Amino acid sequence: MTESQVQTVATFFFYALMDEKSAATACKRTLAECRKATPKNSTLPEDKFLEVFVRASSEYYEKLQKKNAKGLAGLASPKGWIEKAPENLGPWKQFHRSTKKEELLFIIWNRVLKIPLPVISKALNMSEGTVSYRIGKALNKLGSMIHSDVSNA
Amino acid sequence: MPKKELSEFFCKELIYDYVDKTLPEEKSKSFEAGLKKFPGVNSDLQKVKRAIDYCNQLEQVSFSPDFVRQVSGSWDIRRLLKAEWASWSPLYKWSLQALVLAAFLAGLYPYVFKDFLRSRAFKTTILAEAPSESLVKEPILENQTAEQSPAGNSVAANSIPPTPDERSSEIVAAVEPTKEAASSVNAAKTTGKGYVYRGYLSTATPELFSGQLVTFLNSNGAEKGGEVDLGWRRNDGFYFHFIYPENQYENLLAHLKSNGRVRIEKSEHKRVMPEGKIRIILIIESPLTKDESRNDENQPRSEATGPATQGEAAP
Repeated sequence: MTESQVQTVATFFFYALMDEKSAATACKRTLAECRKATPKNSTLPEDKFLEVFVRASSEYYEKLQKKNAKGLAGLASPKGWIEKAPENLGPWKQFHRSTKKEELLFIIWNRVLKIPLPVISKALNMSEGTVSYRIGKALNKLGSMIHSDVSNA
Repeated sequence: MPKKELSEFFCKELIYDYVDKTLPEEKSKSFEAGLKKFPGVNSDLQKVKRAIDYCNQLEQVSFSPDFVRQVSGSWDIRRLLKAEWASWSPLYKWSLQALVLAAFLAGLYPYVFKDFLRSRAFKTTILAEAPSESLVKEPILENQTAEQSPAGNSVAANSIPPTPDERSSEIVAAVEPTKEAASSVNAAKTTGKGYVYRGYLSTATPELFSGQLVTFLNSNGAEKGGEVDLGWRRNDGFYFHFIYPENQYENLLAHLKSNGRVRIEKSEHKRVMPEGKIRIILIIESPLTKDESRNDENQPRSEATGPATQGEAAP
């Protein structure tokens, strides 16, 4: 795994779980899944890696939700393995608490990690239109929280 | 061609595609017209733009190089295990530690504990072998008059170490009085009892005499009794285990006596020899070794065995 790939996976779980311990564990597990799909003594091409990552991270997140893991609900402050995090995480925490799982994940994949729509739709076996629609809805919701967060401040 | 006007609902649905610049040009123009017409659409567009800007800020997260190194291609397995270990609950940790310890001990068993237990069993057998006062009666021969032990009684059985093949055998010494040894052999034959003769010879040149004795035995029809050859070197002495013609016993005795101090005792054994054959286990050592071995003997054990007679005897 390259460092940028690790960074991608870690960023995803940092925002998806908002819990340091769970995110670190999830990151390792998902990277292990990605490694399984990697042929020996070689690295996956970037688009293939992203596809594998989207699928693996989605499955792992779903598994955590089924287990009702504490990490999903907990909003622990990032520390330790996070070197630098955005200062204003308030809107994100609010969004994390209130939004649907799909919207949350799509926003992270597409808007934070900049994974192209076709890759996401292929990995999840969905149409691009569906993915795009959900992202639009999620952005709208997140935007309204940023507004309210600013006005509250 | 007149532009097709979009409703507010449609405009709102197209906001993300417009921002993402995936709308066809014609639809994009229709959307912009709707944007001017419907304030709600404009408001939503601003929200989406804010959200996109915010997401761009979120992208700025970075992780500690240690963590990245830990989970990237070049895993430092030691650090990873340490981190994983720290995150485990004490119950899991203790269970794993117990399992590892058990596996370690199980792995060591064939190499260490088996020998240790065997040596314990050996000692136990010696103690069992030490005959009680009522059982041991016949140290058969010594070329001098009775040599008394420090306790005042000679304990022949104790001074003769057990042989390798005799360790686990059930030995109950029951020996006839010295002068009637020959008749006791006959009695044993009739009763189906077996006997073994355990001897000890102390000589200044054990190695030299050992070689001579091998020649002597071979020329007098002795056969190797155990697994090892005649004159097998054992600790500081030489070990002889052989089957010998009964009628040649006196000759052997004379030969032994001419080369040092001899002590032989006869004890009962489960193995019954064929008629005319006797089984002898003889150890040849230098006097120094003998003294050392005597000093090593356990004093309470000697006392427990009680008095034993010594003297010249024939089978």
